Amino acid sequence: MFELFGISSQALFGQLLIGLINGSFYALLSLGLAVIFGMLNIINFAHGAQYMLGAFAAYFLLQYAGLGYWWAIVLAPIVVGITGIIIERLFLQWLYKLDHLYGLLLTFGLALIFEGTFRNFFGSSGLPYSVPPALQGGQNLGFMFLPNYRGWVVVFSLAVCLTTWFVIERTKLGSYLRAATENPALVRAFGINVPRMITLTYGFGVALAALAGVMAAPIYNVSPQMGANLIIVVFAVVVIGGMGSIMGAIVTGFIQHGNIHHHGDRAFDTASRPVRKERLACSASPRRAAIRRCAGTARRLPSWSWPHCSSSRRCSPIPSF
Amino acid sequence: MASLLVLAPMFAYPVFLMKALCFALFACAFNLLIGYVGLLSFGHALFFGWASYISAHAAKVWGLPPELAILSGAAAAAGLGAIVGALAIRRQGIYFAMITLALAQMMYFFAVQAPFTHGEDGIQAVPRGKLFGLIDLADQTNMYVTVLVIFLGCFLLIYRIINSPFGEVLKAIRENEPRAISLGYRSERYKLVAFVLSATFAGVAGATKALVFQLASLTDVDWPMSGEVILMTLVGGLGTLFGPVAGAFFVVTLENYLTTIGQWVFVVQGVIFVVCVLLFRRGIIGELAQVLRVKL
Repeated sequence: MFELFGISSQALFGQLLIGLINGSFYALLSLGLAVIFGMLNIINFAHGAQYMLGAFAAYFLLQYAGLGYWWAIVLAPIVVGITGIIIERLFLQWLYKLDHLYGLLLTFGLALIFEGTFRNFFGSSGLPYSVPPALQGGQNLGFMFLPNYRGWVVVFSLAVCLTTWFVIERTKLGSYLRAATENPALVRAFGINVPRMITLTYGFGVALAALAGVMAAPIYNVSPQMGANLIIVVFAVVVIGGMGSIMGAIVTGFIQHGNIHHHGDRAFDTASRPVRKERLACSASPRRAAIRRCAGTARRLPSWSWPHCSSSRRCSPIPSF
Repeated sequence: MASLLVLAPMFAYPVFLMKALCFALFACAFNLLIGYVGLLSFGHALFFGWASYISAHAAKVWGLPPELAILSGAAAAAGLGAIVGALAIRRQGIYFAMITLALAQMMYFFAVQAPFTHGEDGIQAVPRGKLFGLIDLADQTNMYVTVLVIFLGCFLLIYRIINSPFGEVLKAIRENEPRAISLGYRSERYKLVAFVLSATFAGVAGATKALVFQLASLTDVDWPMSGEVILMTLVGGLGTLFGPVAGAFFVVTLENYLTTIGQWVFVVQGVIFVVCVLLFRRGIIGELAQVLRVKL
């Protein structure tokens, strides 16, 4: 037990932990969003709804098939990912040649459909989902108390993010993917099935959202509007991290710390207020520096930057006549 | 259209018509931006909702007459539009939509917290007052005529703007911005003025709605409202003069008759979005204009 700026370490690290947990979900969701935007050129407004679908899939698996958390964490992303693939084949594939905005509007419509349907059947109060037995309890780290499940969420989502980054940056499959975003026609000429790759990318991005949903289920309730509450923050994360920049999405997601949208805000009373001020005061500058750093790396590495980012369009010297 | 709207109260419930007119004006204001400048704002609820708060506050707490309440709402929306527009027009397409959405959410949370908005309760029991100190707006017919005059006035103004040299420059920017710049037009300034105009008209619509319903609430500032106005404009037809009006009437009617089926309203709205994007990108009026080969 020690004190920092006159605040007990329990309170300080408790706050930081809430930030980190939110950060894990933001990172997973914004990673999926960034991958989809990069490959399909579509802002997936249904991402929050698909996160919600993941949580509901876990709930259904438990209720109707008797399959617990560990099954859900494998099966739910696959099931929701398949619905994503169906959506891409049915709807999205007709929109690639049109303006970005139609993709946004279509996925917005899909989000309304999903959320409306679930709210109709399950109300808006939320359903409980318990923490798996293996992860119940917690660890006393001396300076704070860490519930096992929350530790697991942070570690696992970090692992998933880094694996995704590794696959995209360092493997053959990833290099096809990056090449296809640069110049799809040329990659097709080399005999690679680009449309199928696009479909699978969308499925993968959606599966990531569903995975985040499964992990969120024991922490927050399973409720139809859980995604709608989160999606706006996730957009902010993706924009701050740089549209289509994978590392940007991951880093910003974790740094976000719920500074903008703090779930714990009202749960903590007077004791937390000085903590928050303190944190805002001391986190503002390092956070900005970190973002600048990560934006810097994104610029230096030619790896995962998209051809259609706004800067390249704005800078084109020749007006099109 | 004007004569239809004058006769309409004989056949339909006036409050319903007034609601539809407010949304029609809101959609027209939004269409000014997306249809003629090609900028999709995902935060127009900001101007609509905040204008309704300001006008409700002006009418109730400051005790201003209705015409001044609506004007102060519109002025607030114009001010907010100038700030948001100055920040947002630096980017195009998706980025523009995201920035407007972010700023609108910021102001939404401000509306949740600020004391004068009364949070979840909203500003209730707003007095309609006497227009110019003469006409009592508590009377339904008087209120309807007032709303109709406001709507037609703004509609004609928007028509005039679109068909002015200024409007032609806006269309040129929509079609090919680099070319407009190379012809010597300062596209940023034109876009900013268009943004402020659109915000102001949205503000007039919101302020009027606050007086009609005697209520300003969080629903009007929240982001689903931004989605709804996009839906109205899309259904009616982007970039058509009458499209937003038709779209607004369509959506408001739909909501009115579907209230009995509860949450399915959202599903129906979602389906309309999907169908419009996939099959009828020109919207009702756009398709009609195509069939009749006239410009509407």
